Amino acid sequence: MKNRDSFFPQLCRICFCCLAIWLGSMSVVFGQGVTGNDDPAFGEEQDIGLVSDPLEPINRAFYHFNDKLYFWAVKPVSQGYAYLIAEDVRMCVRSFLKNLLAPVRIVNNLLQGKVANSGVETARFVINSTLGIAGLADPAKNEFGLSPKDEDLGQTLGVYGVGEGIYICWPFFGPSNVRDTIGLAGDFFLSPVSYLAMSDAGAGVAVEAGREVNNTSLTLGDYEDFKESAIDPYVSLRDAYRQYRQKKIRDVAVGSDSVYISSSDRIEKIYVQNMPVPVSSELDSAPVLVDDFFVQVGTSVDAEQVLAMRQKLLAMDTEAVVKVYDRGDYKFYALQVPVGKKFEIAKQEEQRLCAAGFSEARVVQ
Amino acid sequence: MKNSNKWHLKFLSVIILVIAVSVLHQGISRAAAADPVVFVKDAVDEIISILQDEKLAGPSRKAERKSRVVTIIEKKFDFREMSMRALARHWKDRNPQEQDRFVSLFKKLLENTYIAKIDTYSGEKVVFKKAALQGSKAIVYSELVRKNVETPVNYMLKNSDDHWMVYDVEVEGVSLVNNYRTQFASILSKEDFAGLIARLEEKVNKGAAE
Repeated sequence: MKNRDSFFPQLCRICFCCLAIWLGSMSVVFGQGVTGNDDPAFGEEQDIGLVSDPLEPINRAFYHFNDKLYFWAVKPVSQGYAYLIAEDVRMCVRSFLKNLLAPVRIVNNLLQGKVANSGVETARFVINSTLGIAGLADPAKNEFGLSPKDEDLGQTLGVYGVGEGIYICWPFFGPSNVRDTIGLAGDFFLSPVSYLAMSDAGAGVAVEAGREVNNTSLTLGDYEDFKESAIDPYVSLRDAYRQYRQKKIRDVAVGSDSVYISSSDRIEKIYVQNMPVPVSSELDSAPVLVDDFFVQVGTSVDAEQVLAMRQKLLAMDTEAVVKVYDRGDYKFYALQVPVGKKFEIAKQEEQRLCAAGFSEARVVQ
Repeated sequence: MKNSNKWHLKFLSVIILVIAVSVLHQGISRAAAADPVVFVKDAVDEIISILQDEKLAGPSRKAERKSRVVTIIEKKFDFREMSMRALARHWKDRNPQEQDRFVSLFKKLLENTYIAKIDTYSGEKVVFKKAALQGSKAIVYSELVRKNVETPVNYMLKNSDDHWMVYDVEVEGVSLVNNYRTQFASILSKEDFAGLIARLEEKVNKGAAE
């Protein structure tokens, strides 16, 4: 009996993975057919194409359903709740429920090969569950400086190149797409609330509804503002969801969790060929665009080491630039291969360089 | 659900605050023009101090605040550039009168929906991170801290005539201009340009009436 109990979720997990991969490969093909609304005149924008939305009539209906649900049920209940419960308490509840979902983030960081981030999430879980009193507080961030590394299966699938498929607006759950829906189904097995729901469906629904009310009580007014700003709220929401998820999947690309380059660092120079090109307040134009992607091959305070690595890359017919960062008392150098505006190409280049022995290669922006 | 349900709310409220906050700043000093972080940070700092100023608080000062804001926002945000980017390939098909009409309506829309929401400020902090500079463009990275949640906010700036102008704001990875571009493209795929203008007018008049 015990064996059967642990076997069943596992079987489900495997089935979901297979389904995910199969549907994902379909949606890649499906997605390609409808993208491509390029506007060459404004090529400097990262154009993510048009969303595929063949279900628009149904989606719109569900959007209106959710809209009414918010104004007629969620909002009044959340307002009453916010009136009764102090904000600090509601923030603790949010933090507690977020802590419960640590397994989702730990596993998905691992699945994406982000071993260090997975470790950070594990440490956060341990610290917040103990010192943070079952996750009510977040000492991991406030005292230990460990920021959450938010990952889910939808993002993991995206990192593996699975296309988003068609847009889906679910009743109750809101905007999603084929890939993220599969992701949610997979993550379901990593959420403790799911196991509660399996033994007592009512309790599971109550927890989810409670979370919705609690979180909404902390962001009251946001949805109203959103609707106010949009000309077509349905399209605005669809696009915002899409941009948000794409950015989440690319999160490696913003370089925010880079080990070497901190947020306060400023690029001082970029070496292209062997000539340094200053990138300073004079705004001399360097031949590399600021919003392009790069694959960072390595960083060092030793210029010679970086230049030697660059020679190795040149031997592989790969041009790289050296960015010089000034930290006041010392400088350091980052070797990066410019890869243009396409994230997919950047990812391919990252993998190629990894395979060629540059194990630290990673996409940055 | 956990990742797809709450984010748009956060995105919206934050974008509103951000624009509100950056918009209230008065005047652009020449010295600040060289550094985009200073350009944005000065503005935000001053705005926060204005928002916390009790003398300026209260609904009776709302109209005054708004008119002040409108004068300032014109110096900070390049609405023509934003309009061009939001209309994208439809922009060059329009004649100059149509373009001007669009710019003024788009500007009013942003003014009404965002600047009017300045009152929602409730002690949020803005932390400035790095700036990336290249050619005549810059990105200023910042974070808005709201109820223990950090939201990344990136300002896209362009340098012309030795001073910076913001042409897009990206909150949680969602670009304001791209979001409007998708909406405009969707409307223009079903209606003609006059139809879009009519919808904008309707929206702007409704917003002004409130």
